[in-house]
Amino acid sequence: MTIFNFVFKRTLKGKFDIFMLLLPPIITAFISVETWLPIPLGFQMYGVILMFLSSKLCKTMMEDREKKVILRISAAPITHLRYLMENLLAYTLILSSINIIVVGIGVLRYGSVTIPPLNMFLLFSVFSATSIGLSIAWYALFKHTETAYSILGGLYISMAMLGGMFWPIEIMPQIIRRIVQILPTYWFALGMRQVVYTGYDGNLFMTIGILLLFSVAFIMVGSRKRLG
Amino acid sequence: MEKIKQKYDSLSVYLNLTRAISIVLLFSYWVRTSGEALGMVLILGILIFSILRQYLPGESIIIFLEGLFVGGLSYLWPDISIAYCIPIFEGYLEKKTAWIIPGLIFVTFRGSINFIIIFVFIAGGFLGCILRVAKNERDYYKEESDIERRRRYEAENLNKEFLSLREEVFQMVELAERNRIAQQLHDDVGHELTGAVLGLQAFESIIEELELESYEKELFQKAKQRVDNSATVLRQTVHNMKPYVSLGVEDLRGIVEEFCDIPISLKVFGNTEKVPIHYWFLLKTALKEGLTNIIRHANTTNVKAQLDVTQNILRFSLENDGVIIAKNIANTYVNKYLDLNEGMGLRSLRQRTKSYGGNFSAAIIAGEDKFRLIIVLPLFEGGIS
Repeated sequence: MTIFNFVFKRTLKGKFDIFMLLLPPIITAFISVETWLPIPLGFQMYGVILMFLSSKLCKTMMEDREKKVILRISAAPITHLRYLMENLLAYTLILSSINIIVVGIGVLRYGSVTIPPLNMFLLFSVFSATSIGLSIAWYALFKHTETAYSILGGLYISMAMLGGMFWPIEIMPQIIRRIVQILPTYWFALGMRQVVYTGYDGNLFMTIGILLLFSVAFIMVGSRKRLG
Repeated sequence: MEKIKQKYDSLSVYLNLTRAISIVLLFSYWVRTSGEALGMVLILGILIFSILRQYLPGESIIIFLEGLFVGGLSYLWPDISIAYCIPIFEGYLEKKTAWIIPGLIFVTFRGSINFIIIFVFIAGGFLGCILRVAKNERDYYKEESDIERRRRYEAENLNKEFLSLREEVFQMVELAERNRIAQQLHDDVGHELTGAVLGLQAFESIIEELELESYEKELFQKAKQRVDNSATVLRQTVHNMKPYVSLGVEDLRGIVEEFCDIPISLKVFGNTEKVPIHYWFLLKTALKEGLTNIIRHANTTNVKAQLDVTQNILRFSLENDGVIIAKNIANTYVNKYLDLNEGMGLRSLRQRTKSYGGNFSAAIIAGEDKFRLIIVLPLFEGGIS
């Protein structure tokens, strides 16, 4: 599990790194403005934060490729699959611990009726996996980190907007509402509503299953062995 | 070559494009009809199977699982039975149609089959067939171009080998000629001169009795000195001319002696003087290659090498035991000799032997776990027909 351990060492190098990793989610957890949904705005926005956090975490894999570390790893007695899996496991673990903190703050501040802890944590964790997959798939398309990173912000924001994370999906025309179902952010927003209103528009577990399918598809796209 | 490569790649692009279009069509169908979450599961599932296919091309299990997945979903929701055209397409593409039947049972059992769906299924299968033909053709040409490339590569290598061999042969011819001259000087001139020296020495012992003039004695001494000097110079010349490297059969013996891992018996029959110098090179290479192969591929305890030189041909054979082959392979062969997957070394030897008009054979003898390499070379003009 050398690679697994090394991901932690790289990601949590110093106190500042840990602080920067925790700051945005904790701030988000304290944004208590109410909007069209009866949960604080911060929790609705948390999906966007998760996407950006995962892109920041997955940057290490991109750097490995750019600095030719992956070339040396491929010469080592370790398979590409193992390298990928250990990385993904480490990222998921880091994001899940952040999710626990955020949901914990939510429950302490707003109560377990407003923030159902288990369902919320489940949704956040599955969406973390999806956003990690999305980031890996996105990075797999580019050669340089900078190019990938500069377009990524716009992409994530527009995905969040189209997916209905910033405003209610109902205000968009029917046809667009159907088409945007191709985005994982739509399913996250839907899942959020299903967590809040039990029984809203289908089953929460179906939504979580779809998000998992999204993450599998993204990870498979991103796991293409690219050395150069 | 670049153009051919592009053409090969473009087929894969078309194949993936067909898959992508089918997913997009499915998505648009789903958007226009109901938009249920199950449809999204179907689309994502088909997408995942398409990506999986890039990693494991042509796997029957993927076709089977995709069929079951789509069939199972259409059992739950009959409206999407049309999506089964994708597993049908993949099944026909890989010629693994049996694997799509289980899923098809689900579809026909519950799915709303109508004329349009049957038409789409047939179209999917037909498209799969057409693309399979194209794929097979591509694979055929790819293999053919690979073989062609290998041949060209080998020919280039052989050419290089011959060029370097020519230099070696020139050097060897020179050495052989020097050896011959030295031998002849030693055998003919040397013996004559030694005889002359001995005669002069005998004469010297009786010269006092002849009462010769002093200048006559001086003349005799000078002549004797000259003959002595000539004998010394000749001895030195012969010594210097004689090549230090071993030639011909001695060369082979040297290799055998150096090879101390396994005991080798080298037997030589016939007059090896008749063997042209360039043949020795081939035999030397063959012996070295054979011994290297023995070390690499066999668990040998006994190696026999034999060289027969007759009036018209030369036959070199190298035989070893302990060849590791699977018993079932040995039994399935009706022929006594197994076909061998020849490497570069053996192929190069074969070509060189052919170029000298000879015959080369290298084979595993199935029943006896033995490997035998035989080279037959002609000792007359024209080669062995």
